[in-house]
Amino acid sequence: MISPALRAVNLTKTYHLNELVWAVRNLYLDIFVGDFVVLTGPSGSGKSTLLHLLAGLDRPIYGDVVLEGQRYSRLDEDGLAQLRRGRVGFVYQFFNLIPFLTAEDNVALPLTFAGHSHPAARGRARELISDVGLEGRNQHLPAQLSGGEQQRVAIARALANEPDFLMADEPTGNLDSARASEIAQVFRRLNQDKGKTIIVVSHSEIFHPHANRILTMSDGRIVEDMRL
Amino acid sequence: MSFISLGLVNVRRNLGRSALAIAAMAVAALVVTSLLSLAPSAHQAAQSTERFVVGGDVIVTGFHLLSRAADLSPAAQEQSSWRMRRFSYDLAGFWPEVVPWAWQYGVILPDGAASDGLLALGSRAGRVIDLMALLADHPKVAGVQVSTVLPVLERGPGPDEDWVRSWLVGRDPLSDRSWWPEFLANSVSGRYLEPVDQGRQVVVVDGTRLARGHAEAPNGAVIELFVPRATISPQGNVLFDYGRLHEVAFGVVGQIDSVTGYEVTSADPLPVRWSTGTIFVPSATIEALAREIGLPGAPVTALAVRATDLVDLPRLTGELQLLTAGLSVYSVRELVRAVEGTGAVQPLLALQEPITGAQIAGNLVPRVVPLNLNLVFSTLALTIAALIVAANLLLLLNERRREISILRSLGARTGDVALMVLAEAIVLSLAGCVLGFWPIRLLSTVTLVSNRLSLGHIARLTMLDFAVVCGAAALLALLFGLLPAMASTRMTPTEALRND
Repeated sequence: MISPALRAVNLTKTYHLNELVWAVRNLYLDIFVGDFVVLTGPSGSGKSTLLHLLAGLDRPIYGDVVLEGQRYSRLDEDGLAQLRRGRVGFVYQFFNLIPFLTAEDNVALPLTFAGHSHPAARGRARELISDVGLEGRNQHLPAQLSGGEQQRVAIARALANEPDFLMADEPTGNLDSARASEIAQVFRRLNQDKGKTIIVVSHSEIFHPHANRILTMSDGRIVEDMRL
Repeated sequence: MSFISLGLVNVRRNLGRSALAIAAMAVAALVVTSLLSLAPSAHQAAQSTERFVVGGDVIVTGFHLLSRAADLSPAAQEQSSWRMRRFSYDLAGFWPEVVPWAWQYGVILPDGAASDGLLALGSRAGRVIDLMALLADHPKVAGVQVSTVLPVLERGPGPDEDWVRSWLVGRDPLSDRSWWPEFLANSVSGRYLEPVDQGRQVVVVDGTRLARGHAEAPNGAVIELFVPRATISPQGNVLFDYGRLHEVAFGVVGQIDSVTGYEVTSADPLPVRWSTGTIFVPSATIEALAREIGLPGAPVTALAVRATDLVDLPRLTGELQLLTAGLSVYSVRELVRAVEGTGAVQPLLALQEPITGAQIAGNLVPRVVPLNLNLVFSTLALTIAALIVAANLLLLLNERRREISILRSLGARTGDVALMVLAEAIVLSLAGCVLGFWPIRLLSTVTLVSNRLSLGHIARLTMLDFAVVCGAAALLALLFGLLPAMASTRMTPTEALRND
């Protein structure tokens, strides 16, 4: 039996917004290597919260996430940072590029964090930018790029340290359908050609054709786990 | 791009705020470097008026100098009671005891001081040389030179006795206009001596006194010495400005046949007591005067000791007293204050009593070293500037919370982010220091060039001072930068992004 690469065990997260909100409630989840998982569900159902917990960007109030045997609860802040740097790539809906750095410098950032020399990091960044189809745009600032291009840069940045897991929170939510379709194709290639395990939060069904698993959330719980 | 580089980029991005922080630190650095550079000036130059005119900071002599005139008439010696004369009043008997403004400080030669005290003819006398060597060995003594304590006499011992013959009388041309024609004539003829000893010839510590002129010794040889308002060194530096004092001329009067101590002649011994109006004359001047009247040497009655540091002069005075039991040791600053009537100085030593171990110990009671105000103000200035830098950074970090969260989501450690913030803080602080230091450096150069002020030590500002200021600023920037740096990493990336 294949053991899951990423597990959520009794994962629980609450917020205090005037009243107690259960964003994720006693959630169990197993993700396997090579999975292309789409997390869907209505707004406020806990999709993004779950994704942030799985990526180590946030801490649960209860429960744990285990990535290939490594329990997040046993990692301090720097341990989580190391995990985000090398093992999990994350793509935001609003790209979250550093506005005063060029596309190349943005992509080179995680490489520098990982200890690569500056020239090596920039060389690798140019390759990654080329891989996402933005050859020649590496010296542009984020403001000089379109939304789709910015998202490609963000994907390149997420892939900089060659993580096994790529997680994306509404990566096409801010793009028109044509650009969204292109981004979906990028994710498909990364899953099929590079073997990345992908978890995508999305309202739309644009990723569904490429996914092997669609999870539907409601009120902090997974209410449907559809394997394709 | 490293975190330090990111910090530097951030400095550039928010130029307005950065400029404000840099300006705050520049002002602080300016204050601190000013204080650092002025400190030696204050201690070693600005307050060294006494040193310039007396030749030292501490006077070692065989006399008791700080004795009130009232004390000079002990009951056991009523026959030589002193008649107090000042401001046209004659006071005698009980009155000097109860009239404070009559408490003038005078000079007294203790019994036995003539044989054992510091009285020698000429600066090469063995006793003088031995004592100079002893004093010069003290680690806080920068130099010793021979000096002479001379009283300017105004009154004699008792109403019925003759006035004591003067050696040297002060004359104030500002108030004694009858003397002007003589002064001018002598100036033209060149009879006045040139200032020697770098302008330290004479000090008159009671400028309000009118000279009595030459009437008391009409048959004596007369040499007059003109002390100018300002003494200029051959390099053109103003060594001492006498403007604060009256312009004074001195005449040496009296028949001086032989000098043994202060005993002018065996038939007319000088009394052991003199009244106020003490002047201190470095021996170079007296030697010059003596040469003029054909004496083989001038009396040395004191040694002027220059201290390496004037911060704790009273302590040095006490320590020198310990070394020179049998002599009297005075801080010149206290002497001057006492005679000018501006200080509430009590006699350091009881009148005519032998110096006891307890008195010496009393002089050596450890004093609380005064709080170094320069250090306090420097620290305050730098701290305030560092707080401004920190406040600026806190504001900026609030604005940059999203960026920091992104960096952390990409795997930046908390230490990395802190490093970025601290790099920014240090750059702002150091830039401020450089900007604040160089105007002072320039000012010091201008001061040096113009050479009109006694602030020579500003010019001694060195790169060491620069390093001290920059080091302190960097340290404070580190301390105060830690707060915003830690604040920037307190939340998880998601929390920070959500609150953005």
